[in-house]
Amino acid sequence: MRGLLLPPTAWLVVFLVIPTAVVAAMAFSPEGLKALGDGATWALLGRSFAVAAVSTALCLAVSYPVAYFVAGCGPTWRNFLLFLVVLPFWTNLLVRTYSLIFVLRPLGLYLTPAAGVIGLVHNFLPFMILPLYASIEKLPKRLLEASQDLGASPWSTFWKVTVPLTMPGIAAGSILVFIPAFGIFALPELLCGTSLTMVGNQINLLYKNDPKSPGGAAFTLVLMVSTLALTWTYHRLRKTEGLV
Amino acid sequence: MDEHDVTLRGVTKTFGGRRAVDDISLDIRRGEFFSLLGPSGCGKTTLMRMIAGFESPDAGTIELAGADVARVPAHKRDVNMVFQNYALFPHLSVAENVAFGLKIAKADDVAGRVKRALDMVNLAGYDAREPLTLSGGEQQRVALARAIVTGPRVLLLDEPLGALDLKLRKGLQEELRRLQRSLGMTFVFVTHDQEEALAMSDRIAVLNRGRVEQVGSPIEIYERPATRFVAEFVGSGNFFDGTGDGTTFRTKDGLALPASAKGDVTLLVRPEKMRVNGGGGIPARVEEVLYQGSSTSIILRAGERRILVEDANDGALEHVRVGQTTTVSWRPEDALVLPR
Repeated sequence: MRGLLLPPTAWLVVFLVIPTAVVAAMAFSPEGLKALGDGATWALLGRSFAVAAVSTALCLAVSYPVAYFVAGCGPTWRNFLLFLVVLPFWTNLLVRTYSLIFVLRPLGLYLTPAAGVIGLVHNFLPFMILPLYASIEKLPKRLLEASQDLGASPWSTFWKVTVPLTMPGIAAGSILVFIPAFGIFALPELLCGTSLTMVGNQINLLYKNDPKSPGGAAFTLVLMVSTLALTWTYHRLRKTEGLV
Repeated sequence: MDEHDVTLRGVTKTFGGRRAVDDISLDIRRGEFFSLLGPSGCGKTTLMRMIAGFESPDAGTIELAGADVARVPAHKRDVNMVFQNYALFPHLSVAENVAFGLKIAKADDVAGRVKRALDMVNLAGYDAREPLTLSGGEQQRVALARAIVTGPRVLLLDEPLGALDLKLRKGLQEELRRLQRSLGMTFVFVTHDQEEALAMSDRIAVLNRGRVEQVGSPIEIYERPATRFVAEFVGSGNFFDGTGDGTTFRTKDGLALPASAKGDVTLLVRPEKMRVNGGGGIPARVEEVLYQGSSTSIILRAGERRILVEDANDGALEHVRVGQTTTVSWRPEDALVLPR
């Protein structure tokens, strides 16, 4: 029986553990450490973080009403609308992104940082809507009635009851959007050109010029560590809050 | 003086072609414990939700303290509700749950009022507990404290004791009644439990299929039921369909009973008004004797007819044996006349 574990273990060691170790070793080489100590590195990371955070916030603002509406529909409509939400996933990322250019260009947004944010929101919307929908759908209606009964207007019921009770969905959706948005490179490259460089673009650039780039390794390591930390948080939430 | 806190006039509500509430008019007096009693589906919960503002009537008017509330949304009505399954906010502590309405109203001395409300429902010291860690009875008390703390004009209670076991129910019934008296607040209590309604209410409205069958004090409802439905739903009874000529009442199954009833009516005799004595009355055979501690139920058969007698266990039953033939009788004035 134990022999069955050998192929997957070998696979993981050859294709995950060894490359990660090599990247880590390069990142901790003198040049790698120099790149890690460089202010420009952190400025770039900060910018990527900010773009991902803004995109996540916008994504949340757009998705919440959608998820709320879908959760309030009858079962038939609900399934149809959820189907529409995931439909874009069946289209290639490049096709979706190029088609976005046709809208962004006449608006004068093509090749601006704003185009990147719009692209990110557009691309990751389903990741936000689905967990939000799951937690809003579970919200007992009578709690909203109890709140109104005690004098809270629909608006303050939303902030005092709905939002706190759907916090697990908000957190899960935000993490699911933020993680890939932080490391993305194809989207800003296509939509922003040189107007916005994110970590992913920088890593891509560095490795293209030098496959052994210590700077690329340093960026990769920082990206991996922060992504792992967020993923871990997400799994903790899933466990404690019973998320989907 | 009769001041009305809730006035319903011709209130009607239809769900999917079915009249859940059908032309109901009621006056609920200031400070009274008023019960809406009826089987499930009789419209009592819908009626209460319309008073609270969660549903709006298709026809008719609802007045709270004399003011029409048709255009007043739920959160602006001076009415609070104790929900059937409590509906406590799981993300807030007990004290925060109770403080919810006070904070919305920007009330003074929130902490002091929360403390007094929790004292009132015997939950002193529960402030920091989380609602979902409490027992059903405790959650019910939190829901009650949360609803009364803002001092609403009317408190609506939707089968608040429904999920609790019998012992706890009895205790909470008493507590609820005492609380209502000491607050002097108008309570509108929805229940399908006739015993509970009789024990607690100043007045009861018995509902059936969206309509009011009778409104009255518990004694009136039980002793002078207006319809067969009320008589059957509240307590149990022996019914005799037949025709009376003022002295003798002839039932359809051939019994001749002494009664002053006239015309085609139904006679109702409550089981506790009947005696099994072997003297005069209807001949019947004893089918079953069920001893219940404080009373004994005797089931007899007279022809096709099943008769239930409730005896107060005062020693007069020593002679009754299963299988024995005896007679059942009652005082003529204990036979209630119901229209047919």
